[in-house]
Amino acid sequence: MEKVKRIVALAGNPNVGKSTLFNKLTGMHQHTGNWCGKTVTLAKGSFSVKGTQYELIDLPGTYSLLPHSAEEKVTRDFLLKEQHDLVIVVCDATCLERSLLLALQIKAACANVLLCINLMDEAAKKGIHIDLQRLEKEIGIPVIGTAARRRHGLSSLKKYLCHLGEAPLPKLTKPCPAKPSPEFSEEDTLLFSELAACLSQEVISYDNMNYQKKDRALDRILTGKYTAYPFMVLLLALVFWLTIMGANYPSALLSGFFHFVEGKLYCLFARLQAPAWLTDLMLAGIYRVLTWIVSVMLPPMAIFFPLFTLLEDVGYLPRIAYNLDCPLKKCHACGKQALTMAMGFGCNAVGVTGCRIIASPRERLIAILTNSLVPCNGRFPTLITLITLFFIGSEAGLTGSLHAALLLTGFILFGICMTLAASRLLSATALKGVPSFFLLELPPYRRPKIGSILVRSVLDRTVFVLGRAVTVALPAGVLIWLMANIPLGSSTPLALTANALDPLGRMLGMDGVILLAFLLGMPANEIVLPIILMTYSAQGSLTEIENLSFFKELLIENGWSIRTALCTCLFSLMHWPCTTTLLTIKKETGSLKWTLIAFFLPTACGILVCMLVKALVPA
Amino acid sequence: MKTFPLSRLPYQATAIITEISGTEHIRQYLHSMGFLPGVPIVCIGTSPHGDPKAYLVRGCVIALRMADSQNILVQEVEALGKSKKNCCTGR
Repeated sequence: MEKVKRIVALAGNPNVGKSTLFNKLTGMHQHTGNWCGKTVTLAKGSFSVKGTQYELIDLPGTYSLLPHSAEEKVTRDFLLKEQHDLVIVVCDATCLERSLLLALQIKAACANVLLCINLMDEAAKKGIHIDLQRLEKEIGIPVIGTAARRRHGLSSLKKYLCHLGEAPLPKLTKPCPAKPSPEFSEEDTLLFSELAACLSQEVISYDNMNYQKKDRALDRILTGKYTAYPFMVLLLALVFWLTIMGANYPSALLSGFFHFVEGKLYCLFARLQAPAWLTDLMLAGIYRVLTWIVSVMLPPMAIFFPLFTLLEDVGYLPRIAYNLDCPLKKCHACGKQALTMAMGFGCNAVGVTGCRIIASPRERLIAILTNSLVPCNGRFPTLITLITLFFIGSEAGLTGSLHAALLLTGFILFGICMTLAASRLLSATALKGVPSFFLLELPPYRRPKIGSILVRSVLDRTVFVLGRAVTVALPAGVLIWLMANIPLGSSTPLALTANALDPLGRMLGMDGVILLAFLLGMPANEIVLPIILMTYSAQGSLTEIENLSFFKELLIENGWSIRTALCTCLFSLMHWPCTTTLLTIKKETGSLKWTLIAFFLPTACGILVCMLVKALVPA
Repeated sequence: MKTFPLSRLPYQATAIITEISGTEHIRQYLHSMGFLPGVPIVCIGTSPHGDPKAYLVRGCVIALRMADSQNILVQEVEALGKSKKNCCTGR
């Protein structure tokens, strides 16, 4: 018998664990994190219970059916205009009263509603008890208590769905055709609010009214007048130090291993009597670049991502936005821009999409245009490698890695300052305006799940980014090998292009090859250093890759000085966004003009700063 | 009892919201976040620059800028917890 697919929507306040529930039910890996606005788009997944297919839709969090920002509108439009069989309203057990406000609104607007009280474990830990049966009786819709992170209550949820799956479908039509967009009046909202207050007073009991004491103590340190900034910088430096320190050894190990395999491959190609050009293309062109990416990028990413995810899970990111709101306000921008900047550390394209949490269109545009001034994970390896090679020198071990971490922190702080400056510039010129209304929720701190953080960040992010780098590097490797080996007159296309770009590169304290690498690296910034490596080695005598210090020798051989490295780092921090980001910007702004500005703004910053460095720093 | 803007509520003091002004859009947004007349509110923190400040409303911590919290009028009460019963009048 052909079964109907049931459509189930997950709605609720931001940060109540909708995405976690979604992941647990569908077995997918939506990105989750302890802050409001993590999910800004619809995510769809499916699962089946007892032969019935369910399509689950993870809606962005919203506070009410009267939307305030773009991402909240997505939810409202879906709930009121799209067809669905059931709406699961996910509530936060630790903050039930506010959750109920939305639940009551949705109950009034949609036909089939189930209340899912999530985070029951958190509530129990805080001594908050909720009488679910009483709530079910009072509110008049089914109520199920869950702790999605521990998988508690999922079976009763599925049991309920099962029941729904078997029942005939009397309400499959549009949920409320009569009222396509119900306007709740102020009196309605007040009524809902009083109802929510009464309900929660009746069903909630507290062991201890000071259940938020620990959070407040932490807040006093992390957002304190004298401690907030030192802690921010310290945490940033600590994350970088652990990354650099921890990545050193596995990097060396990996590159040693790949070198060993390369020798064997050469033997194999020789035995197969492969033509010399093929051996050269496969091994010098492709293999070396791929292994270089893996050995240099994998270890730092495998350490950085889990650490960053940890900060995200604990609930530290909104505190950063809280701390940085005042400086951002002075630049006529929104404090939530700090959140989108933090997302940019992972991927600028994700950061740009995340800008939807900013309600004011003007402030959102500022956040979008300046997002690429924080380095994404594609640029971190470039920065880390160049810092390690050029700025630490002979210092090894603890002092060396500490030094490197501080330098990297310095670069990032510089990027943040440039973001502020660019935001100020934009709001004084193209995007004139005054700061708009600002409201930010500071979620309770949550104990992170170390296991799932590791699995999620290593598997989802690290492998994804690495995979992208490899797939982009592969054709780039072939292209560059071809450009370096096809004769064109007395030279090669590669040498000709690099030479043509050379004057401009020199003006910026770099050279033509570096500039060419940035241009060719537009599809993915990860491959900028590999391209430099390939181009240099294709132009000159090909040195063996024995260890990473070979790379430094190669660079110095090609005229690199500390100033070149500094300019390359700065230009890597500030240049055009990658194509993925640009396409996302085009999609988000819907305008070619702003996309072009997003291209030229960071580039202009980079050119300016590099020229300054060239003028001020002796070679 | 006298009312005053929320922005003047001192650190760790509790008050009850009496009135919310501002544009309709902002009012609606504040309502949906749980800022409604009769609801108790506590100032529980200040950001390093002194602005924004963090408030506890209905068990959630919300940060507001001074300029925006001026739209919310409150009435001070002595201690946390006593006021909770006053808001339950609807049923």
